[in-house]
Amino acid sequence: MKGVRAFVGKYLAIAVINFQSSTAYSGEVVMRSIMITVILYVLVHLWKAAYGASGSTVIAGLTIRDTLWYLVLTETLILSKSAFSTRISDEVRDGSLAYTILRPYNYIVYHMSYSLGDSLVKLVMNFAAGGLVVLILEGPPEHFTLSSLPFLIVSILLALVLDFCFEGLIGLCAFVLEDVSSLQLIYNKILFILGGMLIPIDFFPRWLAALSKALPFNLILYGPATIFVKGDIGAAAGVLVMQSLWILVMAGILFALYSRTMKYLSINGG
Amino acid sequence: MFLKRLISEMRFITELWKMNLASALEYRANFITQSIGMLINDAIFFVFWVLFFDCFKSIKGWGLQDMVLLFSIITTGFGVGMALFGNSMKVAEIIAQGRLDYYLVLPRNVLIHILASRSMISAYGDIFFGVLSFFFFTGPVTAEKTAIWLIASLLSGTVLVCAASLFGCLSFFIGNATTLAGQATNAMMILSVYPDTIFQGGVRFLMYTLFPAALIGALPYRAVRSLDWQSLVLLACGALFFAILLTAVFNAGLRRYESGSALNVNM
Amino acid sequence: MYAVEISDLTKSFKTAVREPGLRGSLTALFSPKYRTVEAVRNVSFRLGEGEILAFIGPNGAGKSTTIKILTGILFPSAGEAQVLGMTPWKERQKLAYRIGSVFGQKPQLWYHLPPLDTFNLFSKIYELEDKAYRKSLDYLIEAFDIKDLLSVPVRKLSLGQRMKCEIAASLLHRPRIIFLDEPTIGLDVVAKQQIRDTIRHLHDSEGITVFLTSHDAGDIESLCKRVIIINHGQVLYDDRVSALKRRYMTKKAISVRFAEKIEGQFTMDGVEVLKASEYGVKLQFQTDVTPVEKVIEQLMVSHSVVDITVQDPPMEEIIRSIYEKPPDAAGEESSPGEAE
Repeated sequence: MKGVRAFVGKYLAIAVINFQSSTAYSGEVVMRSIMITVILYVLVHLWKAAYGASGSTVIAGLTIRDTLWYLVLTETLILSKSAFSTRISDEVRDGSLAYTILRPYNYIVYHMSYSLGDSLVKLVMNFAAGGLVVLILEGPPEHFTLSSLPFLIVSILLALVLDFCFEGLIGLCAFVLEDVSSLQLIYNKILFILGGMLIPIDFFPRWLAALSKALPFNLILYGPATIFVKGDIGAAAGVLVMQSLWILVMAGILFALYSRTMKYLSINGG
Repeated sequence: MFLKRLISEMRFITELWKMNLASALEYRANFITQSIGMLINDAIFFVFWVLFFDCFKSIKGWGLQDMVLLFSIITTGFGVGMALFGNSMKVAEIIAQGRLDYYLVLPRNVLIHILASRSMISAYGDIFFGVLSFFFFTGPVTAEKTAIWLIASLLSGTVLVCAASLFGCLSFFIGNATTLAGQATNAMMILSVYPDTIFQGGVRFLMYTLFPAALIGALPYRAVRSLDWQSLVLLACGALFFAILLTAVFNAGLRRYESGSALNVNM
Repeated sequence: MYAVEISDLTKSFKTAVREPGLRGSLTALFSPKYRTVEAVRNVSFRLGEGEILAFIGPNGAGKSTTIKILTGILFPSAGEAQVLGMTPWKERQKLAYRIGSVFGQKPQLWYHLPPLDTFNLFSKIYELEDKAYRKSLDYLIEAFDIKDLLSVPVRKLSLGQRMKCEIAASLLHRPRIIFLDEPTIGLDVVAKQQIRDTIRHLHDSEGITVFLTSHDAGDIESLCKRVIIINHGQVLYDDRVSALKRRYMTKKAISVRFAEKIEGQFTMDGVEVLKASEYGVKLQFQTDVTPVEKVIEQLMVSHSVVDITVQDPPMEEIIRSIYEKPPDAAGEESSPGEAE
């Protein structure tokens, strides 16, 4: 009996210490979740008015609940994704890259796992906060099926990886440009439109929708959000395939450029 | 006496603004990239509305041109406000980090000195966007419309600067309010750029009073849209109210700071 | 009129008290407890016009609090203070026109612009007339020898150059008293000397009152005639620097070099051996126990001495020994200094 008590006590102590040290941090995280609450609150009212004005319950194949839960997911993803490129450019600027690069294989993978961990926490908090708003004001997602859940989870992970590849490429530009914040901004804005964050791509005029679907950006936001909202397993699988293909391409380019940069650095001594 | 003081302070703000501009132009490339970046940022929002109104012809009395007008007012007001008083969104941080002391030992009005000591570079991009979109995308432009638009934009910027600084003053009372003030200001901006008629009841009331998103967006928009000078006067009263409120709260907070009881402040 | 007159100045702060552990966090949230810290306790002193005062104490001694009260940033819990005849917290803006301040850790010069631009800004801040500003500027440029630095962006200046410009900026409006907080911190030996020389030059030619806080004993020794030591919110010492040295100089060190090698361990009555090498030793002793002549006599008698140096204890040690006195032992130490 004593042994069990000691065992439990030890882990309880660890949990308590983690709680204490993270209360300051989690206060911040909670406060940042206020952002998505406000955004979704506004979007609910905007789209309610839009659907009301048009007079129909289904537009471009989506009901109002579909659209709103779609937006919950895209907003969550965009607010939770990493700013990896900024981190690289900071390291290039203050020279700490010299240390972090010392283990070449691990540099990118390390940063990716770090980003993923960080993003997952934010994903949960943001989705909870944003989802709560839509749940209360409109209701639960209409066409989500439990069988699409595993597809959804995988597609979110793949979306983060794909985004990470782009961020990595932008980050590598820091070696040439030093300040990549404008590139990062442009990338973000591309995601806003061509990624389908502000408006579901289904609402786009045909030519724009075709363009968006041809480019990989929609796979970061529109892809996972559609799986969530439409519950179509076939389409879901399609999204996963496309995501994987583009990841192979972008990761390939990323690693190729990365090893080029490493060679250049070691030749020129940074 | 008060007038003399006012003129003296205004001359001082001009000096500060000139220095800020000079400091920014030291890095010309950065100035340009930041301004263009903000321009792109604003343009994307514009694209969103084009796509949106492609599907829905109008909602609650708002069409595409209306949205552009609203946005042109807000960006112009925000741009001018943040170019002149770039520290409005940093007040919480300045107080929490104990940087007030620098201003307190100098013989100038502390609040104005703090606010005008920085110029937000990207704000120039906002001004450019706002002016451009007003003249080219809001329909026919008359002298009267332009005059109202200009005054409305400046008043909108005034409310924004005062409200953002007010949120920042929270640091006097509850310790480090940097994140909270930042979130409140962002929330206010988000609410202001959407048609106010989509909201009802309590939220709408708040937007027109203590959380003045509507004074930044909807009210000035109405003044320009309907060429309504009365709305403009109402807006001016709102701006005056917030300016007075800010002065009162800041002075109260300053007294607290000077008594040493401002919590968590890095002395 | 005195430049600074303080009597029974007291300042206490309330700080939140928190117990460690989870229970502590929760209790602090629902029923916060406070503890009163007396940062400054019944501090009194007077500073005449034209004095250079070293105001020193360890961190947390109450130095910054006192200075903040004197510059009008804080108001006291009790007591009175007058700076240049004005009560700082009541007439802060009015006083601001007549005082200057430099905080070593908080720069005033705009980083990306040349110092001249900040100088111009200050002329507007203090509402200086063009002629007066020009005159003041020319004088300071010469006194500080900063002509070549004026058009160089501050970020490109060395720390010492920056500091000179910072101090120059704070003097543009010809204040009657200047508060310098750690002006030589982080500077190399040459730069430190430059700053000290400039301050001294300014004081000698302008009669400006200088209120200096510094952890650097060199600053104190080379600039100040009077020193006030504060700790735990109370004045522990208030007298001339020379008196400080005399009074606390009960320890001396002697370094000796001998002609022959030392056999075995070096010992002598009444002294402590600090260092010993083949040909020399460094000794330390209390002068009230073993007078200097006795030690030297003993050394000369027992060995053939090649070289001998008598050293005073460093200023740091003197100050530290005063810092370390407990708060209420202050009674016998503080003696109101005389205005020079």
